[in-house]
Amino acid sequence: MAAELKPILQVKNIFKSFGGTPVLEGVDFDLYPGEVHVLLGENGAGKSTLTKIISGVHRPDSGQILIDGSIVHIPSPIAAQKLGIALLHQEPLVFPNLDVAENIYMGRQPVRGAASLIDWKQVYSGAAQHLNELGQNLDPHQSMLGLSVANQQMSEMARALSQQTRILIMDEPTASLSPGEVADLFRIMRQMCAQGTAIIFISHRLDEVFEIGDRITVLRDGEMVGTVLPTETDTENIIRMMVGRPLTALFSKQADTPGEVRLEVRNITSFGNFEDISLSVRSGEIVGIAGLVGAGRTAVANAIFGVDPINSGEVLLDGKPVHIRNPREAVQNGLAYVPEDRQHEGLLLPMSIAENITLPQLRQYARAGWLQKKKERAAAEEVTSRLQLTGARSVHQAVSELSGGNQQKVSLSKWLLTQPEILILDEPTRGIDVGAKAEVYHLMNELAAQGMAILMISSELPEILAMSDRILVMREGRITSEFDREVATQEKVMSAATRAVRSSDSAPHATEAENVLPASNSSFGMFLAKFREVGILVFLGLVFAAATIKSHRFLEIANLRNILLDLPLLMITAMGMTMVIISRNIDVSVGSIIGLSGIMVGMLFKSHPEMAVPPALLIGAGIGLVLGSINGSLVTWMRVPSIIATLATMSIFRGLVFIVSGGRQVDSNDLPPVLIHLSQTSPIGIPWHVLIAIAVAIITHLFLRYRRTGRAIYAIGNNPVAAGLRGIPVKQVVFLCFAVTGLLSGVGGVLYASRYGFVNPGQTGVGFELSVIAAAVIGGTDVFGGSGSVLGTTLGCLLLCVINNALTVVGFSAFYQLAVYGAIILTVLVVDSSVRKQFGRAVTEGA
Amino acid sequence: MPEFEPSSSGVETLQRRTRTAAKVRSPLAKFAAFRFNREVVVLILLGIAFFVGAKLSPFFLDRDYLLDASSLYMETGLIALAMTFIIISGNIDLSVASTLALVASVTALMHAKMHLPFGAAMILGLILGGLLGLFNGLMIVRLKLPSLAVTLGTFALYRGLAQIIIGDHSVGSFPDWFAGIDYRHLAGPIPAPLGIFLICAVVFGLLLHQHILGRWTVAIGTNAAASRYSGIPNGTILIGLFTLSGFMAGAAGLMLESRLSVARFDMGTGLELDAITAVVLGGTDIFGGRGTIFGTVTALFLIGILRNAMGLANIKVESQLVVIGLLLIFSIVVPNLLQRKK
Repeated sequence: MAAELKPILQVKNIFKSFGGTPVLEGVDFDLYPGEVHVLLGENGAGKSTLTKIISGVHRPDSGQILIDGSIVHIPSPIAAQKLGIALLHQEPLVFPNLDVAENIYMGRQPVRGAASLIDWKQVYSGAAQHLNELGQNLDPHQSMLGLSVANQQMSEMARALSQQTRILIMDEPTASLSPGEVADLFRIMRQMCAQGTAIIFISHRLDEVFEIGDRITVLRDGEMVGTVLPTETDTENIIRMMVGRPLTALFSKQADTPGEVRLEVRNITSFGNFEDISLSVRSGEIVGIAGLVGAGRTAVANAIFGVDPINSGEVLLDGKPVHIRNPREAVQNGLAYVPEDRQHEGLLLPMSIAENITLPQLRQYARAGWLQKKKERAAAEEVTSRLQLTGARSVHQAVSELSGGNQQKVSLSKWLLTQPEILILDEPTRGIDVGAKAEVYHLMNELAAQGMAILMISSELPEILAMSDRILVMREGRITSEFDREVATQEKVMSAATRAVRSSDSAPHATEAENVLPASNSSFGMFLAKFREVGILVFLGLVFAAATIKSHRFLEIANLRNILLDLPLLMITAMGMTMVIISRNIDVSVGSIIGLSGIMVGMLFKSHPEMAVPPALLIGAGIGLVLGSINGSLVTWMRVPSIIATLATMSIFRGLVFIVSGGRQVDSNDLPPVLIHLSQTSPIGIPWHVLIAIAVAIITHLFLRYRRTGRAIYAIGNNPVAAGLRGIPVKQVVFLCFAVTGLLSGVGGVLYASRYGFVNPGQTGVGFELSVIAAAVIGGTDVFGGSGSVLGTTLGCLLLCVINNALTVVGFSAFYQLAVYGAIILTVLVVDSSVRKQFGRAVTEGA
Repeated sequence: MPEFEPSSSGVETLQRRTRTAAKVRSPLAKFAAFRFNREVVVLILLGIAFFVGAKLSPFFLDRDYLLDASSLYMETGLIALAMTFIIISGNIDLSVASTLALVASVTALMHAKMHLPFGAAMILGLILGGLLGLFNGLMIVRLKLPSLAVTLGTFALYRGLAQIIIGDHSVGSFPDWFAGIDYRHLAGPIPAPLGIFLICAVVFGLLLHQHILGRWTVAIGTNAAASRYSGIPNGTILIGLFTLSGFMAGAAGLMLESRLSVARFDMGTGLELDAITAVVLGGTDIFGGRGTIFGTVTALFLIGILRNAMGLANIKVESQLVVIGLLLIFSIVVPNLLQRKK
């Protein structure tokens, strides 16, 4: 279309291999402004690798990339971003606990002032503007968690817009979209092209390719087959280019006379997912379920198979009512289910073909529970030879080494071994190449001919129309229509799925998906945050009341002052811990860091009594920083899980405390009076300890709220992969969390010496990590990472200190403390879990 | 974390040498063909530890001394066996040492204060251990909570309860038949704790590698969702594994109580670290899905013998912590770095 224009992107003679296997062999590719250039090819043809090289995820072994005619190097996704290249993944990579605006701007939030603080006003107005440009009425304040896949993709498109993207790469963006949503996406793509954006578009759906593509380039086995114009070619030709042979009569269901009703579902309902579903499948029949993504189709399959519970209605097998509570019972009842997500739900990738195939019926290959491995192997070999699993060396090969099509065959064949009477298939040909698709259809025909009852969910209309004897259409959790194969057409099915016949491309389809889902206005994190602080305050009040009734000493000034003085050490360390937990990690070494910093500074005071307090604090901070950096390095660059790394350094640092001190305590007469007085006085009447703690809390809050790096911690906790692809230096940020926690704990060591007037190798900081973790978790820091706040943690610290003090004042022995901490941690976990469950119910269909 | 292989050049030279040395498949050739996995590395380290120990003290290699000294870490061993299953399933149990202390304290008090026959107290103690594990399992499975958080909570709760019921006392006065398990022997020179451990190790090894339970555990640790969709009763198995872990910790509590002839709330502090170290050092993937009992047992003896040798070299218990911590870190870092090179 734009022959006279200069190409915006040229890829010349690119070679790339992984571990000796060539993936790209001399590929050339060019892209002009304002065009949609379709990239086609079977799985493993090298499409994804090529796009990943262009977007800076991989680097080519040799070859050149030119942008606007000059050679560029793209070493990272962030470099690609700077060149105006954006990659949209098949599954939108989002931060679920953060809102839409922050998802759009993460890593590039507009900042202002000398301190580069994030300008939140501009973040929200910018997001709103870009969403408007796309014709979307999404609220920038809405959390990502409750959004449909289509809306998440729209947010990603808005991100591409906000980056002044010149080259947009879309890797199978339509794979999980319904026809209406696809039309909406195409409309936006044309709009962006009209403004000069160039788009590389990957899809397995050939009809879409002809609808949207300006040019089509086909890859096969890492080599370019050719570039054609859609107007000068047809489907057969494209398929021939892709597979290297003509493929006639791709698939169709063979006509059979169906037998008895095998599976019958009567009026089943699952609140928030689907309502009043009735259907039946006969022996030898294939029943297709069509509908939009989010219409509740997968939820129905999950409910029939016992993955999710049913609220009402009944399921009958061969006319007899059954109550299937979990997949195991479903298998025992002769059901089989090939889920949509092959890699996460269908298969155990690192395990062998044989182990995968026998898993559902493992008991058949065991006597009294003891495995009969020869029998298992024989069964697996029989199935794999029947399925012609090309490319597999032996049944002991890991499934991860197989191609997508072969993986799907394994995912199917593991159920064939159970000899099911009813087979449920969810998107059986999603993401597999044309050749493998044909084999899957052939197999479905064969199974139906043998009398199996098959229920197939599919978003590909040609597949539904060709393979189903009967078609059910779902919309918004209900079955809206049923068609026999003779009368069904694309138009009829689509109109039943989308409520109205698609009138034109500009129809606002995007809102439909929103209607399906109950839109939620806050994430779990925000939900917790709202109620958490009130909850803690109420509980604090109760503890205060109880303690005051029990002992009049509790409310005395001296006692309240004690509480206030217990607080700073805990609070300072907990600020660091909050950051660490938000980043999806944990640090159990803080107590030992306090011990080591305390003992070292204490011994320094012993040998240099004239030393002033500020340098001592600095030295303590320095020691902590070094120790924290060790933790950080282990967790990031050495890839040790944080619990293991810090469990190990907890003992190493504690061991060092004993080695350094020789097991001897630093006493109050070894410490200078100025240090001791630090916890008593300050120029403005508030003890220095409290001032330091308040300063640390304020700085932490500002950092977490207004600095890009602070927001990056939340991004990492939400989705580390997405954070990395947004150009966030994940390892550096996590390292920083540990280093800062170490530093704060190091300061804590000096404060300990100041507050208690001694440092004991076997006592100082021992078990303190529990209090710190408890304070953060009580304060609403999500143990799964991604949310938490300074205010919450501060209240958590206060609550712990008050409980601790109340226990002593009321006269319980100090021995109660440990059990109380344990009980509090568990109580908080239980409360959070029930909140999460209640909240989760509303949004499960979102994914 | 797949097992790492040696640099190809090393294997090739070894293979070339063996090929020229013997046409027939010699044991050396078999060894070269054998994958250089973690278990083999630990075995080699174990050999080195023996060598160093022998250098440190002439008594070190004495058979009876080695056998008797093994009693010092058999409680860790019992816990590590169950921990292997827990970690393979993709979880962790930090509460084991606290369970040990609570079971020991409760059984001692039942006998001393409530005058229960100790045999009955023992059985109740084992049941209690199982129940404490069951509680962990139920919290993790029913409430869908991370095992790390739950067992960190019960880590504090269980030891805290022990502290509340027993206070700062040391409760002793056990019947003669119970005290001093490490002075009894099974089958000649083998001390009873070692004998019990080895029997358990064989049973656990068979369960993990030859039984349906082991396969299911590996499957859950590899991919919990896919396991559930395959009809595996994930929840039931995990609850069972945590119950087993609690039971083994309870058994370890009784063993330690018998060996020390006393129960205190701070018994076995930090023992979970030794157990986790043994499991991870023995090649079990900390992210789940892979591991062997053989590796755990070998690593346990490595740690035990190291501690033993350090004791002979007059290294204090607190300083030994440094070595164990370093060992744990290196056992993960070294294969990680090797893997990255590949």
